[in-house]
Amino acid sequence: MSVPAAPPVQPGLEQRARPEQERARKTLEHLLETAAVLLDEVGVAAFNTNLLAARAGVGIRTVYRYYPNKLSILAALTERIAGEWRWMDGGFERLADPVWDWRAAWSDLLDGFMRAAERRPGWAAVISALRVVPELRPLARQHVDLVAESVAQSLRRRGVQAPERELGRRAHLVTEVGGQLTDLSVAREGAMPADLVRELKRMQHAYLASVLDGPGVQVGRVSPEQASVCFEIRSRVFVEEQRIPESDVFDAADARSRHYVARRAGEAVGAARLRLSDEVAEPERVAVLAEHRGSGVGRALVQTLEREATAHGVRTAILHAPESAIAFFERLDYRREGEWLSECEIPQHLLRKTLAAPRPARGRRQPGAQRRNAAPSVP
Amino acid sequence: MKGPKLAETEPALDPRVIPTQDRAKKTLGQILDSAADLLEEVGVDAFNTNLLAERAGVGIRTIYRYFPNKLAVIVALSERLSARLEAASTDFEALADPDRDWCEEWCRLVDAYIEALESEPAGLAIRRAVQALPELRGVDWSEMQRTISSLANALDRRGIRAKGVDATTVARLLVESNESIVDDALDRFGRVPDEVAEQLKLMHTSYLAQILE
Repeated sequence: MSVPAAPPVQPGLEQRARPEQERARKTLEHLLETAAVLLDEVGVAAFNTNLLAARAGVGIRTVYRYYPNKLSILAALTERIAGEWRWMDGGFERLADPVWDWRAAWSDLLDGFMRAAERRPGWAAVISALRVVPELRPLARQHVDLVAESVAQSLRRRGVQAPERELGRRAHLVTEVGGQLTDLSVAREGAMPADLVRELKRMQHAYLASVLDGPGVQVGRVSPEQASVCFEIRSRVFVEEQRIPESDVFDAADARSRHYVARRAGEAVGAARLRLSDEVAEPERVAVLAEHRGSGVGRALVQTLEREATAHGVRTAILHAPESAIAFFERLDYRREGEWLSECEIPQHLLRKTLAAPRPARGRRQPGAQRRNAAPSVP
Repeated sequence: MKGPKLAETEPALDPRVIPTQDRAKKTLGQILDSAADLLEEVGVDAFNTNLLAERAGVGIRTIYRYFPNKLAVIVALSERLSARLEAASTDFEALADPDRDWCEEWCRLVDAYIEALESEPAGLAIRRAVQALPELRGVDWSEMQRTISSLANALDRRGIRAKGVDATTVARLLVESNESIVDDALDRFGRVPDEVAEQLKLMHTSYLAQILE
């Protein structure tokens, strides 16, 4: 993913001197930090270079050494804010990679952006300054365009089949709405209320679904931050339905596991986790909502977990299953080993499967997969 | 709903004199028209009462008779704009009626909103100014709150099917996203191109289908 490059700064807005020395860099940083706070306090109309010099405790000539005028300071603050998106490279990667659940990947991007906005003093003030100073409008639009282009690019790499223009428009709309609503909330309340965040995501997901959801069951990985979608399903199946104590269903291993969600027409219908070491893969907590059982959801989940394991170079999968789940795993070529283990409340059996070597990924462009496949395989 | 405590307009932002005579009303209207043009042209930062007097062709004392300062002018512009927008696009009665097709009604409302804003050339500049001035953030928010609560009321009457979803949150999402996209389009193109309007409606109706059905 290419990092959004900073748009060219308009003539007259650029910074004058590039600080070479450590002390000068510190001064510059101090000036910008102070400018952000000041801007937040007094607004763009009252903000000026004299006020900044006074507040920063430097002479006006120090300010002028770096910035010819108020606009150039605002432009520099904009650059800093645009830089926030660069931290989110990992987020764009996940959106682009079909291994990841796109809903969770999009939520991660939005959450990351919101956290950055909430943390930055002066964010809202800089954004509103961008809106009202006519000279800065092109800069503001360019930044939205760059982010929207990154979104569109990620979706294209994901393999989304939609006309270029259509994809571009959708990417622009979700980016604009996500950015604007965040800015407005941060300006008014300091942060977006949790229920609005939830509905905003729901709206963006609903809008993108018609170009991103495929037919049938789709399984994707979710980050730990978005794993609540998995935990909810697990809880419904194991705690509510099967009456297994919550302390057995959720444990410390969750923090070290990869989490996956299975969706049908966008709705989360199954979940599982994968514990992965260099030697073995352990597919665990495979849960499918009652009304969706017997329709291939569990199979799709386990197969995805196995693909992840082999892509990681692991050839052995083991797991413990109760009586009721044995037939399911045997159909997926897991074999029983040893005796029943009866130390827990529900007796479990150890199952093992030797995983096939990974096949070259078909149709999906997964960075890294090709490299792994190209490596000589150990017989 | 959660939100900053809202500020009644501070005394210093109120217009000084509410004109009662026709001639005075006309003068005030003309001042506001000039103010809207000027704001659109120079932006909130450069806007001031001297420039306004010059543009409106009146003495500065005439301006001061109505407005104590620049902020008061902007508040008056914003109130006039909201009143016009409300009159044009916030009749949510049909949406509240469960016998009517919500999809059609919502699209009609979005179109009406777009049309109303397109016919206010300085609308964008006015709203951006209000958003940008810390003293006026409360004004912007309270105007939006009015629209949000009447939309929420209509959605409630219609009935929200999605569990645990509060009508005010849905209304806020719809109103703010509407405004964001329309403002962005006006800013870029000076109007809302059909394809942007179509996508906006598609985004809203995809969402509302999950909430209302």
